[in-house]
Amino acid sequence: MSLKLESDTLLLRQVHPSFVQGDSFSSQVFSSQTFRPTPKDEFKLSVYNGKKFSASTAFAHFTQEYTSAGVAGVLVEECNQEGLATEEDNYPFDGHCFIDFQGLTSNAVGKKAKKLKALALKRGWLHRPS
Amino acid sequence: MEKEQIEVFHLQYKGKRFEQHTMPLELLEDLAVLGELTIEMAKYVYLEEHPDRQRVIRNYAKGISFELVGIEAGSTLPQIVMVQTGANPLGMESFKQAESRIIDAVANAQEDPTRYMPHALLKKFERLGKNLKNDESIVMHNGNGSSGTYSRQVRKQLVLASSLSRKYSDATVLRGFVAELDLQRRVGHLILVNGQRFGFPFPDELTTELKEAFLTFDTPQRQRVALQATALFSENDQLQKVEEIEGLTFLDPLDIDFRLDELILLKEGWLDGQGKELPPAATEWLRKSSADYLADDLPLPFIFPTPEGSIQFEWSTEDFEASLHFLLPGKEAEFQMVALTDKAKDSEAEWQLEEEEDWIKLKTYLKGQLCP
Repeated sequence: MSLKLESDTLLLRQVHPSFVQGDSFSSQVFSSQTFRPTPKDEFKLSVYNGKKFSASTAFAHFTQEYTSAGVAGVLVEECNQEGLATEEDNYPFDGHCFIDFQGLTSNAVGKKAKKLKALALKRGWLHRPS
Repeated sequence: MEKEQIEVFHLQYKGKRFEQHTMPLELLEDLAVLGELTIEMAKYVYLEEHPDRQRVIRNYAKGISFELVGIEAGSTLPQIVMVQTGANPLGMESFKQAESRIIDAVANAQEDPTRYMPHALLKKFERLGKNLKNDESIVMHNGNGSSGTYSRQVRKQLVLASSLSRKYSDATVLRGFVAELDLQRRVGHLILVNGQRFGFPFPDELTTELKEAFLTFDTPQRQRVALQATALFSENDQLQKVEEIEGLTFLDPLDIDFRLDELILLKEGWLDGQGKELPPAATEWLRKSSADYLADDLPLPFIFPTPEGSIQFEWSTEDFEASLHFLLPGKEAEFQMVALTDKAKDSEAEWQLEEEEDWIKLKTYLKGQLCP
């Protein structure tokens, strides 16, 4: 069952290593594709509920199976301001959420991904492996 | 003194660099090598025609010189003349035959160039055309209807034919990190972007810069470098040995070539099971086009692969987020800019990048968008 998320919930997104570039730790920038759902996602971008996972526990959970260079995040409220709905579906694990890009054209997806990236970049890395 | 002068090797340099009918100085050595090669080949031809002779002819090059007398328009056409002052023991005919045999070897490089030239002389092609670029060539005519086109690929075939080990030496640029430096033996070690490690000898004048790069190796700001080198390659173009270093460049953390070297290593499934490999030929096209048209005057982009096996350039500032998505292996690109402070400045555009003028238009557009 999908649940509505509170507006101050931080949604944690894993950043793939190939989507990170830069010289030093502090100047590393990640791609806006971090916030663009891939074809497999069917327009639903997977994120972790920041009220159930800290950035480091989300990282540890994700990297049991996949690769991540670190964790970035946006608020539910910020998604809503961009016209993007968010939901917690708790599938395949408790605390799994998604940002809903369904019904948008490819160009619109690209634009919204850029806006979310800019917000997340301003917030900075929430977790990086040591 | 009697002086005879004939034009030899009617040459035509082809490629973008020669469209202004000028000759880059680094290519002048080619003309000297061609002269040396012709003299050696004339001696060989003479001995072939006089099998009774056992010894090298004394002063066989006496009175012979090769001179560049001008560069004609029409791509770049260096005019070389062979000048004979006084008597030469071989005679002009041997030199004309030598010229034809060299052109025949060039024209038949893919088959068996040893039918025209001996192994020892084919090896001299190592020094000819070392600084030609991949899309450049030299067309050689002998004035009697024979012609051959000399390119980097032909050079490789001729040098390989001269070598029993099937290796060839070539000018190259190696990008990576300086991981070790032995100042006493003047030997360094470079870790290439693909992780391979190679030793290299270095000249005194590069010591300071190499030390500077090496001292960053164990730091987060590890310095990326490009070494201009001569290296030995296998028949399959695999780097075997670094023979000589001619120069060193410190690279920006966002250097385009370095980043593309990294991305071309991505394997199928790189994005947690999704993610296609980048198409090698199209990536090389993008590398070259970026160097030719986008490298100057524009801020360096962040470069990322896309799950579809393509490449996206991105620019990120406090005012905007912009992307230029190259739809490889095609020659199209989509630009999108999201202004973070003023929505009216959002923009989108699509580009076909078949011709040089398309790239020039794209560059002008990007300058307008990214550096208003």
